[in-house]
Amino acid sequence: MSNSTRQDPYEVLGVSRNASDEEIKSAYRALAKKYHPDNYGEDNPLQDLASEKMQSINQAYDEIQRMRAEGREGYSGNNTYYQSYTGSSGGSQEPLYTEIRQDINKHRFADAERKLLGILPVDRVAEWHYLMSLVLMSRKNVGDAMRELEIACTMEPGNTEYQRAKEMFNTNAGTYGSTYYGPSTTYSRRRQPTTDEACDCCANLICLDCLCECLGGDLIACC
Amino acid sequence: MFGYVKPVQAELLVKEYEFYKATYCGVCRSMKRITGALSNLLHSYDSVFLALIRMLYIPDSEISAGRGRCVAHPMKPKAMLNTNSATDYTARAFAILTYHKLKDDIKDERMLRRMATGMLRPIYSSAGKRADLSRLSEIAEEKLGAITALEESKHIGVDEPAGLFGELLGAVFSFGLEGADARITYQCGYHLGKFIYAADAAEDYEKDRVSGSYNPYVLMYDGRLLSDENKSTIKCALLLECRELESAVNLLPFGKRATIENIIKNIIYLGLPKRIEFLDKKEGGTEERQNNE
Repeated sequence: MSNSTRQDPYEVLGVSRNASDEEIKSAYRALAKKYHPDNYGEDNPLQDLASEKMQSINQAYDEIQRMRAEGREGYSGNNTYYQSYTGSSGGSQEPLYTEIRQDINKHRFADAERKLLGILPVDRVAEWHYLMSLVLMSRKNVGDAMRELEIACTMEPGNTEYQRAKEMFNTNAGTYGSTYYGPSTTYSRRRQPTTDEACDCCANLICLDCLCECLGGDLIACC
Repeated sequence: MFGYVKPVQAELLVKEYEFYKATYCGVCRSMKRITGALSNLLHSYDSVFLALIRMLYIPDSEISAGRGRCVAHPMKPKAMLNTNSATDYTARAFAILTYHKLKDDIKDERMLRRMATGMLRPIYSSAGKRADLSRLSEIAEEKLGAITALEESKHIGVDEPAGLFGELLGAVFSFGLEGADARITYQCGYHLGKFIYAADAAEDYEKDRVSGSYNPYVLMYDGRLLSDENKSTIKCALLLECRELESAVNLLPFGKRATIENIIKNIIYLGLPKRIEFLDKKEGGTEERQNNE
C-alpha cells in the first residue's frame, strides 16, 4: 500500500514542494506521532500497517532532507515518554505473585492468568486485582481491567504502584482528542506559524519525546 | 443503533456539515429504495459513520450530490447524496443489524417483529445480493445470540459481551473488503462496537440497577450506587477504547478527502467523548464509596 510505487516524498508528508524546513519538520512530527509504535502495541492487529506507514514517513523525511542537502541529526537521547507500568519497583511478599509478575514482564500473559485464576477468591488481595488488571489490559479488555485496577486501589489506597498505573491510564485517556482542535488545524488552510503558545510548546515537547524514543529504539511496549 | 455516533456540529465547517447531512439523506434514499419506505423510520445517525467510511473505498466519480425533497421535510429541498454502492451497502447492513437486534430485543412483541421481518424481506429478494448478505446475517445472529447467552448466564465483566458486539460491527464495517482495507475497517468497527456497547450499558446503569435487568456494570459493581470515582474509572476505560479506535482510524485511506476525514475525526474525537459526558455528573454515591471488594 505504501511505497512500493515510490511515492513523492512531499506527498507522503502532505506538504507542498516549497514548504519551509520548519513546515516539513512539523508535518513529519505530526505524522510520526500519529503512527508511533506506542500507539500500536505489539498486540495491535494493525501494527504492521502502522509500521509500514511509519517507515514510509521516515523514508520520505530522510529523502527530502537528503534532497535538500541538509544533513540533520537533531534527535538523540533516550527519554521515555511512556513508562512501563510493570516496573520492578513493585514489591511482593508472596512468591507466587513474584512469579506472576515475572510472567507478565516476559509477556507470558496466559500463564499469568492461569496462575491468578488458581488463587481462591477469598485469598485475592489487592495485588491480585492489580496483576489481573495488567493481564486484562494486555488483551485490551480495558473495561474489566480498569475495574480490577480500581478495586486494587480501593483495597490498598496507599500503594503507589497501583496509583501510578491508574494515573497513567487516566492521563492516556484524559488527553484523548486533545490534539484535535476542530477543522482549522486539520488542513493547511488556516494554519499559521504559532510558536509562542504554551499549548504548542507542550505539544512540541511531547512530539520530541516520542521521536526520541522512536529513534533511540528503547521501546517498552506497555502490556 | 443507539445514536452514539454523531459529530459535534458546532465544530464542523459548514460544508462538512452539509456533506454529513447529504450523506444522511443518501443513506435514507438507499434504504427507501432497497428496504422500503418503512425502514426509514429506523434510520439513525450511526449509519452515516459507516457510510462515510465505506465511501473511502469507492472512487470519487461514484459520489455525487443532487437536490431533493423528502417526506420528513417536504417543504424545503435539501442537498442529498445520490445513492452509491457505499450508501446501498450501509442500508442493507443496517437493515440486517436492526432486524436481528429487534428479533433479539422483542421476542414476544409480534407486531414489531412482523414489521421487522417485512422490512428485511425485500433485501433477500433483491437479486444478486442474496449470497453476500446471508453471511453477514449469519454473523449477526451468531454474535447477538452469544451476547444473549452471556446475559442469561449473568456473566461478570463488560469486555466479553462488548467484544462480541465489536466483532459484529467489525464484520459489518469490513464486509466485502479485502486485505489491509478489511483489517483496518474491521478494527474501526470492532472498537466502535465495544465502545457503543459499554457506553450504552454505563448510561443505563441506574435504570437497570433499579429494574434488575442485565447490565454488565451493575454486576461488576454489585448493584451499588456508582460513586464519582467509579464513574471516572468507567469513563477512563471508555476513552482508552477510543484510543484503540483512533489507532485504526488513523490508518484509513483518507487521501485528499479532507471533508470525510474531518467529519470522521470530529465524530471520534469530539462526538464520542461528548456522548459519555453523563459520566461527569457529580452526584450521590458518597456513602457507598468505600468497601469495594
